[in-house]
Amino acid sequence: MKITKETFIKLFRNNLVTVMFVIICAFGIPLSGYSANYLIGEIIVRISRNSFLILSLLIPIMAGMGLNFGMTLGAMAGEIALIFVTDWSVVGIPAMVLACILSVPFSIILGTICGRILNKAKGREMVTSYIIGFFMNGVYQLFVLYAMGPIIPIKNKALVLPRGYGIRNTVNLIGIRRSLDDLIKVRISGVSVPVATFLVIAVACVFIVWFRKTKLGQDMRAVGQDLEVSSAAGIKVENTRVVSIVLSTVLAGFGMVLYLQNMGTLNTYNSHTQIGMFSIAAILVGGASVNKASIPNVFLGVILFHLMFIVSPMAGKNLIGQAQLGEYFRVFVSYGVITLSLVLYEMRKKREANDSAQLLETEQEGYNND
Amino acid sequence: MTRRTIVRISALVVILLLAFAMLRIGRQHSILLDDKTVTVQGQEYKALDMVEVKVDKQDSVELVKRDRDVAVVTGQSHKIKVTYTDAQWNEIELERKIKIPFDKEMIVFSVPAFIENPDDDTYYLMPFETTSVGN
Repeated sequence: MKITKETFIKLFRNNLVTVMFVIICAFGIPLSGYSANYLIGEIIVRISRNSFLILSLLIPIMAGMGLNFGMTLGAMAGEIALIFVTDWSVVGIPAMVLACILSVPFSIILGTICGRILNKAKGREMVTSYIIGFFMNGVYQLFVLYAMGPIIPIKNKALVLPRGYGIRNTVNLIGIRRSLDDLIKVRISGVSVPVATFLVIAVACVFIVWFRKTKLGQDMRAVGQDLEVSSAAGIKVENTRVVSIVLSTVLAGFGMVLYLQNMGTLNTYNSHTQIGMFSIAAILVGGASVNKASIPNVFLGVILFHLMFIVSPMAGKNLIGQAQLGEYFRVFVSYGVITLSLVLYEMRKKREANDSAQLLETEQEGYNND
Repeated sequence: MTRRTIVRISALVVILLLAFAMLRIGRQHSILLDDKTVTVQGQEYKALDMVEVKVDKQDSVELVKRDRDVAVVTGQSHKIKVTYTDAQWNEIELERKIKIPFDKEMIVFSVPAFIENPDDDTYYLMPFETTSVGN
């Protein structure tokens, strides 16, 4: 295939965010002074920790619902399940499996509510799901702060606030800490690889690939392309959209369990708040857009986004003597990436509309000349 | 009842059974290994001067008179091995399987009672009860 100047510009334009991150990382890595071994080790940890959560974003994008900021609801479901599992003193892999199972009903309920609301806000799904996330955060806090203890019995005193009800700010997940990561651990030239976690992520990838080929998956793709045409073709559009959000929420719940087993600590009131934004920023960095995303985008996004996360504090410190700059930089970049991607998406949409209008005009002129 | 409903109900039952199995397999218990003089069912069992207790494949614990240690275990069934020296300086080894009740988070394993009645766990396994300091 011959690469012309136009195709190169188009490729550059379509992957502007990714290119920008490659440049940031290319400058940041030598500035940070970290060794290759350290960086690879850290990246492997980040891939095992975050990939599952980011994979949960693929299904709503397929159904044309954009980036699901409502994935925080799934994260909340996973956290509630982990609080119960910790209270019941269940540990290890059984605790993880149990937490995943327990998170499902919460995820289904929250996902259905979110999906139904999003059906009422077609075309404005992203901002609506973002606000639903804030609203549900309040409901979650009410549940964890006031219902756990007096209504839902919590026996473990280490979990409950000194006043006798409500969950403490931090829950120690020592019982499940790295239980999956350490299940099958292989060391390759000094870098530890959590094989079992990668196998679970691989299963999730296979599920998504398989799901795309099912009848429901095909329906979602059709709904994502055109609502009216899909509806005329007999697809239950609204139901399909709700199912896509429910699936995403359930997967986000599992992802949160996987994420927290790696962290080993649950920050009861904050763990889920940043998850949606960081996951969305990562998938956008990987080259995804509001209406198109694939599995390679997830992994490329985790690598580039988290590489920036790892190197920026040290690069900032070495550059101007303040690590705080790097901390500030990464939060600023997360929001910046989302904004830039949304702007680029709108620009591309407008450009494509212009191009097709121009094409139509040229065709019409040719027809009139004939 | 349609085939789809049957499949859905079966899947739900399998998931519930899996959750229950995980709850039983993964539940953590603390066994308090106690070498104290106790009275069980009207019979007094004297504490041993020194005894070695091993729970499953964990490191063995050495207890002296009036000593208490803890073994944290996962699941209900466990193997306990007690090694001690009798009055004739013979080393005796006793090994039994114990079953911890599911609802008990902490249980006391009385070594002196175990040595006298190793085949009846009602003698040596007792629930741990905390006594609050009164006013």
